[in-house]
This record gives sequence, structure tokens and C-alpha cells, in this order.
Amino acid sequence: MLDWPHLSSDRPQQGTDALGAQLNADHCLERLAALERSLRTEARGDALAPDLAALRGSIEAAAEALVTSQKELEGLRESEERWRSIAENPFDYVVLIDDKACFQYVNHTLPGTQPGDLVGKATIFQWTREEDHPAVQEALDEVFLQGKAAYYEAFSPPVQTWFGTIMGPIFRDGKVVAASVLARDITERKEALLAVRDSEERFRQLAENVEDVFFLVDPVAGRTLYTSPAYENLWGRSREALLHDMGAWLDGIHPDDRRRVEDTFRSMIRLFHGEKSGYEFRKPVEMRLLRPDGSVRWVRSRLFPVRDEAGHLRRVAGVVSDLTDRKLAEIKLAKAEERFRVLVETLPVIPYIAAPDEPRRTIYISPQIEAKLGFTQTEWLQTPDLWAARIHPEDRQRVIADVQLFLRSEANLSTRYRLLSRDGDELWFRDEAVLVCDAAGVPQSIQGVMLDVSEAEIARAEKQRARAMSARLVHVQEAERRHLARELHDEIGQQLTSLHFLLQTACECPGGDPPALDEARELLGDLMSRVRELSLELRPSLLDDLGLLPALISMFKHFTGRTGVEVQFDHEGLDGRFDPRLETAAYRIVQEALTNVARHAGVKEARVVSRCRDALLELQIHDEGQGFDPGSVGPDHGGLAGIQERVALLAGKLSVQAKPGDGTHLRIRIPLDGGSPIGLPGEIGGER
Amino acid sequence: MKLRILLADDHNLVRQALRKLLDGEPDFELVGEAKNGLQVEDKVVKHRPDVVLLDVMMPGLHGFEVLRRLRLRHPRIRVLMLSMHTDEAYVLRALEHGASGYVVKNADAQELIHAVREVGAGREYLSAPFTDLTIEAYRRKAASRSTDPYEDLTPREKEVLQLIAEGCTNKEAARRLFINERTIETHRAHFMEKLKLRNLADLVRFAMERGLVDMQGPPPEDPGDGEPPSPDPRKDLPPSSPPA
Repeated sequence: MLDWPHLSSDRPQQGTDALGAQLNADHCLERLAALERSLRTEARGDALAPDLAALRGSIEAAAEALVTSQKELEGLRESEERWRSIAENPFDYVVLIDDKACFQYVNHTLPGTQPGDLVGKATIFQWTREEDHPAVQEALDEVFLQGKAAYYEAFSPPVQTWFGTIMGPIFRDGKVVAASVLARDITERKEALLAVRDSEERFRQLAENVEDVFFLVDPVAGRTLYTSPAYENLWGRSREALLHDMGAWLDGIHPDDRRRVEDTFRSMIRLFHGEKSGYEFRKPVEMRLLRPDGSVRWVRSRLFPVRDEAGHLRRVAGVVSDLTDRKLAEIKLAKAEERFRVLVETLPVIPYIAAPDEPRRTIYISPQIEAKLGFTQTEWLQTPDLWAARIHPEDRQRVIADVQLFLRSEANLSTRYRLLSRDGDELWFRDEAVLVCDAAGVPQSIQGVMLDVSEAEIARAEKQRARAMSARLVHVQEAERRHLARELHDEIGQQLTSLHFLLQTACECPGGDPPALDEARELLGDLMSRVRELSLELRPSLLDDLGLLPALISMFKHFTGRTGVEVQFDHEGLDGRFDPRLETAAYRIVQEALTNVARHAGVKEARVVSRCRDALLELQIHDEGQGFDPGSVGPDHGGLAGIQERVALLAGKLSVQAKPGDGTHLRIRIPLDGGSPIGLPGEIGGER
Repeated sequence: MKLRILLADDHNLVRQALRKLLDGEPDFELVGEAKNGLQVEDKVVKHRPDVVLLDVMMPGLHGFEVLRRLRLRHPRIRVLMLSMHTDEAYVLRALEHGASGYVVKNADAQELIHAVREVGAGREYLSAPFTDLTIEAYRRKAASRSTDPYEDLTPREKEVLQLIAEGCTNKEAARRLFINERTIETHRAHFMEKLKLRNLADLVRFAMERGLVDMQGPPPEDPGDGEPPSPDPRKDLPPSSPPA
């Protein structure tokens, strides 16, 4: 193994008897003398003289002993051989160490050291890396305890060198007192060896432990040279079959993929026979494996060409990786993505992402936008100011202000506006968005959804119009009634009054016809009462002149007179005047509720409570009559719709508690600052 | 000395008729006429009448406003209100503003003349249907009183409130009243809302303050157990009583 100058070469014939030993000893001494001479020529030779003398003595003693002992002679001979080798290999390090492994002599100065640094001071251990110390110790034991030569290889950190070291015992008086050491630099070889060993190891580890399958094929010979054990796991088949048939792995391919994979493999093989084929090395091929247990694995195979120095294809190396988990995840992801896409693009909302800075470029918008506005997704993405340009001119300023506020504040965007389609149609959108910022708080994008609320908006506008119309109707009706009432009361009434007084005057005139005049006066009185009642029914001027409370009291009096139903009335805080609309509404509500009582309840008594407290006007109309089931009748029952409408116009609340046999109980609460209902002008005030 | 009368009415025909009527009386002197509310004060200053015959409804300035101003600036002059309105509210309002009399326009001529004389003599006069009694009755009706929310409760709600305050659970109350437990819950929710009570403790306090339950608490369910009635009614609350 080691390139060590062989000890057997060029050495004298080993003696087999004492004479031979003696001759050998003589020869040995002769060589030692030569060594001494040679050492003396060196600077440190003199210093070593005592040692050398000792050495000499020991050799002489050994030589003597050898004469009588073949064994001793052999030992001497070995020792002699060491010294010879020392002499013959002056370029190696030659060292003498004592039994403490301390340097006694060094032939060359080691790099980075002064000659005096080592001798008598350093030990061989200090020049050996720690993990090799056991080997050193073993060699020392062999040399010093057993008197044998020893060899070891160790790394020396101070000189960053691998040494192959041979150590031989030096005897004195039959005892090993020192050792000769010859160390040769083997770094290059060692490193090469280690490198090979490393890469071998690495490959082995890789091949044997990784789940991927590695293989090496000689297509020309039709042999599989190597297949890593993972094959058995992945294929679920033994590797043995591959040894005989390099195509055995094809049996594990899923039937649906086999033809394709086999064709690919064959086209690769053709390259080896010098044929042209479209095969490309390194290009991944995906396939499914059908394992004997019926399970399916997704794998990906890649092949690499192995060429000789001349560039000819020799072998094929391959890696097969298990993709199943990734593939399943991919399939799952693709499905999820598809689901998400379908969801996003079929939902009635239109998600979008826009740049937070000007121009507010659209980064993404659902393609549904096209169906709504006639501009394609691409047009939206490529036209930075399309959005702002399509906002209805009446809404634009407001919306842009909304967006600017949204970008400055932490609140989310929530706004409504109209967008104009390509054809100029107006569509109402609700736009809700959040601002997405990075970790540093820098706005990255606006992410939002737009919802076509045109229908709702139209319905809302429709409802608003209906409500405004209703308010208008109520108002017009009331104004008309007031006008008629006034007309009756003031004009016709006053004329009747003058007639009344004129008649009275006529009666007192001499020569009249008292019976006829009396009859006329009676008729006139009836007429006046009738006109007053009519006026009152239309609209009591009391309501305008004196307010809600007197009007209610008056209403109750007339109601009782007309229907026989007594009204118990409790009130609180009604003394002042209220908004004319509120007064009218309250009056009409009570009037309608009492009409219901008279019509449906079948009672002789009703109770009305009205209180004004906490900026709220409360009206209650109770009867303990028949009641009704609010669930079984529409809201129109018994004129409740009219009441509901009036209450709603003033932003009030109506609650109906009714049950068959348990009476009907209406509670109405109207805020005093009921706002000004949409489209309702202030009620025409009465003359006061 | 004749009684100086100023006639204020916006209707020519009415004024004409009245003029005729008043002219027939020897002790009356019609010193002037006003056609609207705004003219009245000027005419009063100019003609210094003893009595103003004032129509309630007049353009320019409402009769009541004219009345108020006259009483303020010419307290000596007596005002007799003349009106189409037969409602006590007008009469009361007229009297409150210092009118000496109120005559409805369908009164007999004789009554009207009588009323003018009465007022001119420093007395008060009310037209036939009105008396001090009816006015007082109306005044009472119109007087604001503090309305009792308890009275807003329906008889059934009052019954349920009573039972709950006495310590009944909804179930017991339902059994006692022969109605569904759910109905009890509904009634309970209603009266709690009407009375603005938040919880059972509020309810019991309310019932005690109103004297609906004995301050000593309800009688014990089983007086035979020998324990004296608890002086603390809260101790007798159902266990579901929320903390006050």
C-alpha cells in the first residue's frame, strides 16, 4: 500500500549463524561510523556525540549479543536496517525520540520552527493532531514496550501535513531507550485517497438514503450497473430483475403512460447505436407508476449521458424522483384555483385590485366587468384612468373625494356611484375596498369589490319617489281640505252669518211675516250648523289656530257625539305648539284610529294617551274590543296602512298590539325633530 | 251717554248686517269699523270706543293677537269676541287673553245686543252654550297632567305584572291565568318596555312603590313550615332574579 522504500531491498544477506551475525554487526558498525561521520559534518553533530556514542555502544552490545543469539541478531539487523534507511532517505524527516516521545534529534528543521524549538522540548504528540494521538500511542507502545517497529499515518496541524511515520526501537542493555522515527510527507496521496473516499461515501449516502432512485445503465451491454435501494420502495419491486433485464423497470409504469415512456427510452437507446433520434438528455419525463399493491405514484425521470474521454456515449445515469405529493398538491391547488377563479368570476361582485397612487391603474379586475360596462378586462388593465373617466359626472367629485379620504384615513372605502357603460348606460355600483400596506405601512394596493346595485338603487329611488309622492299626496290632500274648510267656514259661513243677522233685523221690522221668517231662520240655523260640521270634518281650524290639544279634545267631543263611544283622554306636555306637519299627522292618526275603534272594536269606550317627553311625541290608542290577529291580516287592516304611512313620513314608529278578544293597542312614537321627509315642503301654516 | 262701539270684522256683509242691528239701539253709537286685524288698533286710537266687537278670524292679524295687544295697550277698552267657532277652546283662549265676552255668530240678535250691553257695563258675557262650568270643565280637560305609564298597561299586562311582582315564575303565572307561558313572556316584555323597567329588581321596586305588593313581601307559600315571613322581599324573588 505505502510507497515506502522497501526494507528488504539492497540489504546484506541475513546471516543464519553467529558468524553471519558478527559479520552483520561489523557491517552495521561500519555504517554507524559512516553515519557518525556524516552527522559530524552537520552543525549539531557534536552535540549529538554523546547520544551517538551511546548508540554505538548499544549497537556494539547488541552485536555481541547477536553473536550468541539469532534473535538478538535479528533485532540488531532490523535496527541496522532503520539506520540504513535513514541514511538512504535523507529527504524524509529523521527524528530520534526518547521514551517520553520527546524529540532528541531532527534531521531537517521543520518549517516554521527553529532547530532549538524542538529538541529536548517538544514531544511527537504536540506535532500530531489530537485524533491521531491513539495511533501514536499505540506505535510508541509497540516500539517501547514490545521492541517492535511500528507504522502509522497521522496529520500534523503545525505543518498541515500528513505523515506516514515508521518508528523503530533503539535498545540499550536490552531495553528500548529511544526510538528512531522516519516520517514521510504523504499529504498528497492521503488527500487524494480521502477525497475519493469522501466522494464515494457521499455518493453512497446519497444514493442509499435519498428517496430518489439513482441508477446507472450500460445500454450497449443491456445491463443495469447500479440501482439505488429506493427503487424497491418507489416501484414496489425488487432490484434483482433489473440485473438481468435493464428494461424491467418499464413493467412498473402505469399502462396509460407505458407506451410513451417506452418510446422515449428506446429513442434514447438509439443514440447509443449511433442513430439519430430526437431524444434529449436531462429533459424530465413525468410518468405514473402502478405498484403491485395497486397504488399509483407520480414520478419524474431525468437521464444524464456518461461519456468516455473521447466523448463517446458509454453509459446513462438517471434519477427518478417521487412527485406524488407535489403532484397531488398541484392538482389540489389547480382545483382550488379553478374553484376560486370560477367563484370570483361568477359572483355577482366584481373584485379588483388597483394601484394606490395616481394614476389609479387597475392591476386586476374580474372579467365580469365586461358584461356590466362593455369594456374588456384587458382594456381596464391597460387604460389607467378608465375608471375615473367612466364615473358619472354628477358623482365623480364626490367619489374621488371619498377615495382620497379613504387613502388618508384608516377607514375602509364604502361608497356608491354610477359608472357609465361603453354605450352610455348608467349603472349603480357599491364599491367597498381596503388599503393593503406592507410591513412598513406603505400602501401597496387597493383591494376591493364592486357590486352592481343598479336594481336596488332603482328600487330605492322608486321607493323614495313613492314615499315623496305619498308625502306630497298627504300634503296636497291636507292643503285642499284646509282650503275647503276655510272656504266653507269663512266665506259661506260668514255670508250665512250676515244673512242670519239680516233676517233677525227683518223680523223686528214692522210689517214682516214673522212665521215665514222664523222658518227661514230655523233653516238658516241648520244650514250654519251643517256648514260648521262640514268644515270641521274636513279640517278643524282649531288645529291651525290653537294647536293639537284643543283640536284633539274637540275631536273627541264630536266623535262621542257622533258614535256614542266615550274617549278617555290623558295627556302630558301637549300644551305648546308643534311642527304643523306633526300636529296634522298626530291629529289624523288619532282620528283614523278612533274611526277604526268605532267601526271594528264594538266597544263603548276608547282610551287615548298622548305625551310629549324627551323630544318624542307618543300617541296611544287603546280599546278593549274585539281586536284582530295581526298575523292573519294584511297591514291594510282597518286603516292601519294610512296610519303607518303618516308615521313613516315623520320617521316615527308604530307598534300594534292586537289579539282577537284582547283589544287593539296602538303605540306611535314620532320624534319631534322628525327631519324633513323627502320631497315634502313645509306645510302651509294656518292663518293665526 | 251712548256706548261707543267699534266693529271689527273682515266680511262686508257681516259688518253691514251688524251695523243695521246695532244702529237700531238708541244707546249704542257705532264709532268706527275695521276691515282687518291690523286696522283695529289705529281705529281704537282714533275713535276711542268703549267696546270693541272683534271677529276671531281676521286677515292681517288674528283676532286673538289683536285682543292681546288691545289688553296690553288699552286695558280700559272692553272686547267682546264674535266668532263662528262653537268650541270651548276658543272661548277659553279668548278669556285667557282678556276678552270680556264671547258670542257665537249664530246667536239671536237680541242676545248679541244684550251681550254688548253687559260687556259695556263692565260685566262678562258668554254665549248660550257656554257657562263658567263648561269652561272650567274644558280647562280641566286641557290641563296637562302627568300621565301614568302604569295606566298604559292592558288589564292582562297588569295582572301579569302583579303575579310576577308577587314572586310567581312565568310558568306559575301562566298556570294561574290559564294562558300560555309564551304569552306571559310577551306580556312581560311589553310592560317592562312600557314602564321602562330593566330587570326583575326594578319590577319589584316599582310594584312596591305603587303599592301593588305588600311592603312585607308576599305571604309565604307554605305558612306551615314555622319560619317567619322574610322581611326582605328580595329574598322571595325567583332564583332566576338577575342582579340589580
